[in-house]
Amino acid sequence: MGVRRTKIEIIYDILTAIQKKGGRIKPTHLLYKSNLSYKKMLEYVGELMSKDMVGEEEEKGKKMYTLTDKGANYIQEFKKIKEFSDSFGL
Amino acid sequence: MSMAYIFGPSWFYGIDYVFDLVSVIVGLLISYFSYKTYRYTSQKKYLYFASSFFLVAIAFVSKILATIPVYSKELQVETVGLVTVTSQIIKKAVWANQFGISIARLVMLVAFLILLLVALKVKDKKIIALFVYFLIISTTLVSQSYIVFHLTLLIMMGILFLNYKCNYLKKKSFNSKLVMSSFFLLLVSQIFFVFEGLVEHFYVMGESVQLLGYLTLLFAMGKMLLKK
Repeated sequence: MGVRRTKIEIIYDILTAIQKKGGRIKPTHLLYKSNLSYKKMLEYVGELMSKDMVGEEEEKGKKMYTLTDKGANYIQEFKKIKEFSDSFGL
Repeated sequence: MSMAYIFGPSWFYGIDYVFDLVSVIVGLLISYFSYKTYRYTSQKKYLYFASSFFLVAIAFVSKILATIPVYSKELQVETVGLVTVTSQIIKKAVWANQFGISIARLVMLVAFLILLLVALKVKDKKIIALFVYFLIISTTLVSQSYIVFHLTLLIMMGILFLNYKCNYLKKKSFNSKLVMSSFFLLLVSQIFFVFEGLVEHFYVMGESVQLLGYLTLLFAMGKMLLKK
């Protein structure tokens, strides 16, 4: 059994999943990549949208989640936090 | 009249300010980044970690401020002429020096105690109480001997070094190696400080190795913060 992810790790996984798909992703792909239940994924995406880290767009009548600049900055900050935390064993 | 705390040979007066200022900058930088991480994650360990390095910076500032009155040239000039006035000035300077150094030592011990508790992930309140008890005892003894202060720090640095060595063996990253190395240097510096009463130049050696330790930490932090 894997180690339980913290909230910021889940957020990082969601944002990097969108980033790896070129900054826009279908909800079904995100569900698969984030490794969350549908309900949990909607909760997290809702929170990220309220914080302007993720946006929502329509493409050919289908919903897409997009990565905002704030979301991209969070990914950079998270990498630093992870490095800091690992270096000091926190 | 009681004695002032003066460190090392006279040619080193003032140079140690520069060395200690580097430690202040490193302490504040780590504290700031750890606090920022706390704001991001809301995890208390980052707040405690930030507090410990902030206190390290405060301790070094206290030490610098405490030694200024006794190192200052103005004081030496005034001792040539007005004997009674000089005596009053010296008394005040010595009092300020002793008070400042005592505060610096207490704050430094508290800082590294917090760092130890965070690094060892101690959460049991009974163990924390025991640590605080030992800190109170060592602080009481610190007023009588600088050796107890540096010996306490030496033990703390030793435990922290072993902890960061384990972390490096687990993570195997360059930055964790830098953190481990910096605490090894801080440990070695404390060995010099313990014996500074025997050999005057050990203070210079201790300060130099300590500076290297904090510079290594600064380099590690630079690598983390500039990571793309």
